[in-house]
Order: sequence, then structure tokens, then C-alpha cells
Amino acid sequence: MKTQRLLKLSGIILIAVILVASLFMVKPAKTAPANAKTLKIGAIVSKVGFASASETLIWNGIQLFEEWINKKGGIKIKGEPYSIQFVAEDGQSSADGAVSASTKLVTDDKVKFIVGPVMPFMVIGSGSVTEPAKVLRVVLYNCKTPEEYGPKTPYTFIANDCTVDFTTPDLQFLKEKFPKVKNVGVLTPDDGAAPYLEPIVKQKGTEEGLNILPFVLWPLDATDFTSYVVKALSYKPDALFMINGWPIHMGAMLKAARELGFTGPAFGCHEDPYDIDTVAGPAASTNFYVHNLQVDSPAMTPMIKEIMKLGQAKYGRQSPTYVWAWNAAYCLTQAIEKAQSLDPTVVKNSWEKMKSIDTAYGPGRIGGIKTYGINHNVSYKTPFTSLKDGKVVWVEWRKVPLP
Amino acid sequence: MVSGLLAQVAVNALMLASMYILMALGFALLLSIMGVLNFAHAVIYMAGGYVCYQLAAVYGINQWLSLVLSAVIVGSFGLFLERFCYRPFFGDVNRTMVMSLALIVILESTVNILVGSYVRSVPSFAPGVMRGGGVSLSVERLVTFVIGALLMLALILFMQKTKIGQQMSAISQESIGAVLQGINIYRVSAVATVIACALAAVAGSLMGAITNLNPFMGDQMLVKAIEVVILAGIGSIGGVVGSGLILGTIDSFLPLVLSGCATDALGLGIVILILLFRPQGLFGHEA
Repeated sequence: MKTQRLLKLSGIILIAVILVASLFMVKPAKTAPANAKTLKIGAIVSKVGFASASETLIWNGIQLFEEWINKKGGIKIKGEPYSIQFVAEDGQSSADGAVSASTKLVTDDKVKFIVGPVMPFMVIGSGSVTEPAKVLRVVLYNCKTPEEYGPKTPYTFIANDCTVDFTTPDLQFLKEKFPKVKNVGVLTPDDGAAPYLEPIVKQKGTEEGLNILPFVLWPLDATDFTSYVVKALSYKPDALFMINGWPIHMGAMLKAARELGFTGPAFGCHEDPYDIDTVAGPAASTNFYVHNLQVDSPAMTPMIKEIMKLGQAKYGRQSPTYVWAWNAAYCLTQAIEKAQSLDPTVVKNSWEKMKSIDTAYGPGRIGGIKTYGINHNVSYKTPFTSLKDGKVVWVEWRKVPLP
Repeated sequence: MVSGLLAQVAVNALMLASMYILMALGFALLLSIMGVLNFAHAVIYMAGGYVCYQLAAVYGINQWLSLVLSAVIVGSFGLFLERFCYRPFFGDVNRTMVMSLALIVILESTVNILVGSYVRSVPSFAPGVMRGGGVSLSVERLVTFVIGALLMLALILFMQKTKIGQQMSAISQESIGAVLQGINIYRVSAVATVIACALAAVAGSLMGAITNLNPFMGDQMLVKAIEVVILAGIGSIGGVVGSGLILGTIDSFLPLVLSGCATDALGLGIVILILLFRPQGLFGHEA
């Protein structure tokens, strides 16, 4: 009897906790343009797992865009207004999760357009569902391996430049600012892309007269990076490139590198410098460069400034990750409007013929055919931001060659 | 150059081992005394980190005081855990395991919903780096090592010198015999759970400063804790030190010679190999 009473009490407490938690999940109703039809767009964002810390901000950015565009009247297709509704599915920071999320979006929600996912293995997993279904995806990042992006994936677009595209501008920046640097160490996740990236980065290094040292791979579930950084530093690099990963990884590697006595310049990829600073701590956050924004710099575009205002008002904080996510959604809706169709094949055919597109970061161009055999890449001047003495400091906008 | 590298690896191994030991201590205690595979140790570790962050970074309380308060608050949660989650299923391995897995989902989701999974980090407890003889060592890792060693020592002394500690040892050796001798098994279990939760909170707070906080931070550390405890041998609290050092050494050395995911796979392979020769663990006793 006593045990039964205890079980009942435990059950009641558990249900109470779940009910209280569920109160926080209820969202207010959104306003939509009067008489507007709704265009549902899928979003694959990881709400659990190691990527969730950053992908939560991606979802926030998408929601900010949704409110913004609907406030402006949504989009018009053949004179008919459409409000935009994003439907999120959890990518769970894994390939399996991305497959499940894509399957749910394609079969249950019947979306024709998807924003996301981010990481190579998730992009490949998701593509195994979306490509046969001819659902158009705008992925947020990938390493542009042929399995992720290219002629094999005709319904995949990307709204920003990525690792391979950044390599030459990064190496040129390195030579300009640090002319004594000769040997560049590389740390990159063991996510399947490294065998593809290593020869490309080494080739680009040779072209710029720099020696790219052997890649050091770290597992995605690593919690302590010291051993991997020790290995990278054992090659005696003058500069460190941390190619791909999330701020939690970059911050931990930067912290380990500084603790181990490395004082040279270090480069990230596209990660949020504020989050890197949080993880690495002020003492380690110096002489570090990344392709991202200092959100309160006067050099920001009017759209970035507006996103920051909206983000501050809605979420109480500003983050460059909002802009990254917003930009993918923004490019997609422009392409749909330009095609004047909700058929993904029509939109795809129209988008790949476009020469230019507006981006949150400024004027964008469409490219990719030269390097990847498919004209599905939105390119724009890339931002450079540094971490200096624990502060995020704006550096410059720099041109990226059209891939 | 090679000797400098090896010295650095040796220092890293010690530091990594201290993190594993700190995480594994509480897990080993509950397994040893209550026979509970408390997978929820991972989320209690995470909750400890978040409580410390909230107190130190949000309320501006002194970090060391926040660490202690976190241990007290999360330790108190241990009372609830033992009374309502584990006691009703005492002796039933399957049900306690399901309960601990349910707790992971409930607590992870609750933290994820209530505070979000944004990147956070507990402010450093002891900033700075020590250098000498070609070896670098961050002070906060050294502090973690010292705290881990002190807690380990305190726990062993507690188990050997105090009455309730001896009762814990008695229960871990022969629970029915201990009950027949008049030991209140529920009371001892409650104390053990409080200690385990407090240890997890200390580990979470310290690791939240060394790495970062997120609702899923305990998942990977739990795997390490289980490896440490199984390798040590169930029932061997002291053996946790030895197996923690072995795992720390493996995880520090392998990345130098192997790449990425292969380090995890080979590390686990070595553990399995050891268990093939000593199924009872390195420091455990034959059943």
C-alpha cells in the first residue's frame, strides 16, 4: 500500500513537472496577412545534441524572418498573397535525425521547400529523402563534397560560401596581416569531409606559398580538445586553421591552444564569435579570426541592423547566427517570388539562371558552376571579425571569388 | 622535443583522469551501495553546472560559494531522487534503470525548454596558465585535479572512518546481511544518493568552467563514467582512481597516433580487451 502511494505521488510529481514545462512551449498566435494563403516551408534544426546550442539560434533567426516577411505582407505568386509559415523538425545533431526530420517534413507536412540542415553528414542524410522527392533545400552550410552539393543533388542550394570558398581569402588575409607565417596547422572534425577537403586546402596553400601541415581530426563528441591541439602544435605551426565545427568546439580548441602556449593567429570558419568568446574565455580569445559579424559595428548592413533590433526585442539578445539563418530563408523566398511558382522544379530552374540576389549581408551573386558543376551557390562579400583581448572586433568585408 | 611532447601528454592524462574520476565517483557510489545504474547521473552533473552558472554568472555570487551551494542544492535533490524515484523499485534493476533513463529525458528536456540550449560557460574558477619544462597546465584544470583528489580522499575516509560510511561498505558487500545486522538500508541509501548528487554537481560546475554548459553535456561524460566504473570493478570505489588514470592516459595518448573517431573506438577496444581477461574489473572481486 505504501509503495503504491509513493508510486502515485511520484507519478503526480512527474506529471506536474511536465505540465509546468509545457506551459513554456505554448506560443502566441501569429498575425498573417488578411485573405492570404499559407506557404509552409520546412526547417531542419537540431533541438537536441551537441549542435542544439547553436541551432537554437538558427531557429530563432528563421522565426524572426517569418514575422518580418509576414508583417511586410508575405510573398506574392501570380498576384496572390501568401503568408509564410516555417515548420521545424528536430535534426537531433545526427544523420539519422536529419533523415527522420526530412521524412516527416516531406511526407507528413508535405512541404516543397526546406531550410537546413547544417553539417555534412546531416546534409547527406537529409538529401537522401529530399532529392528523390524533388523538394528544394537551402542548406545553411556544408563542405561541398560531391555527396552534399553538386550535380548529384540538383535540388540543393546554399545561401552562403563555405569552407572551400573561404580558403583562398583566408590564406590571402593571413599573408597580408602575418607575412612571417609559413606553416599552417589544421584542426577539423572527423565528419567524413576531411579526405575531400585536405588535398584542396593543401593545393590552395601551395598556390599562396604556404605550407599546410597534416590535418588533425577530432571526433564530434569530443569534450576535451587538449590532446588534439597538442598533436596539431607538435607540427610547429605558425598559424592554426580550425576548419568547421561549432562555437563550442572552436572555443574549446582556442582555449586549449592558448593554454598550451600557442600565441599565433588562429582562424575559425563561420562560427558565432560571441559564443566562441564565451567558451574560450577572455584570456584565450585573442588573435582569432572568423567569417562572421560584430553585430553592433557601423559596418553592418541596414538589414543586419534590423535583424539585431528584432532579435533583441523578441529574444533579449543579439546574435550573428540569426542573420545566417534569416539569409537562407530570405534567399529562398526571393527565388520563389522570382520564379512566380510554388513548384520546386520551376523555382530551381529559375534560381540557377539568376545572376544576382539580395542577401542580408549585401548584394549577392549566384555561382558554383565553375567549381562544383552546379549553379546553386549564393556568394557575397564575406565578413571578417576578430577576437581581441576577449572582445569581438570588426575587421572588414572581403570579396570571395565566385565559385 | 619528443620528451616535451610526452611530458605534456602525461600532464594531460592526469588532468583528464581527474575529470573522469570526479564524474565517476558518484556513479560508482550508487552502483556499489544501491545497485542502481544511475544513468541520470549525467543530467544531475548537467544540472549542477547550470545551478552554479545561475548563482555565479546571473546572481553574481562568489564562484566558490556558488560551487558549494550547487553541491548543496543538487545534493538535496538526491533526497527526492532516492525517496521517490529509486526506493519504490529497490532491488529491481530493470525498473530503476528505466526510471534513471526517464529522468534523463525529463531533466534534459526541462532544462532545454526552461533555459534553452544557448552556449554558456561557468566563469573560470582559477584563471591562468602555469608553464615549466616545456609543459603547460591551466590552473583551472589543476584546481579540478586537486578537488578531485581531495574529494576522493574524503570519500574513502568517510567510508572507512564514519559509522554511516562503514554501513555503506557493509551494504555494498552484502545487503541482506547488513539489514539483518540492523542497518537502516533506506537511510544509508539516502545519504549515498545525496553524496553522489553533490559529487556530480561539483563535477558539472568545474567542467562547466573548463568546457561549456549545455543540456546534453552529460551524455559523453556518462559514457566515460561507466567505462571507469566497469573497468574499476563494481564495488570498488578506490579502483575508480586506477581505472580513471588508465582511461585518461588512453584518451590523452591515442589522439597523437590516431585520427578522430578511431581514438574513441580503440579506447573502448582496450577497455573491452582488459575486461576479457578480468571480467570483474581491475580492482573488483569475483562474484
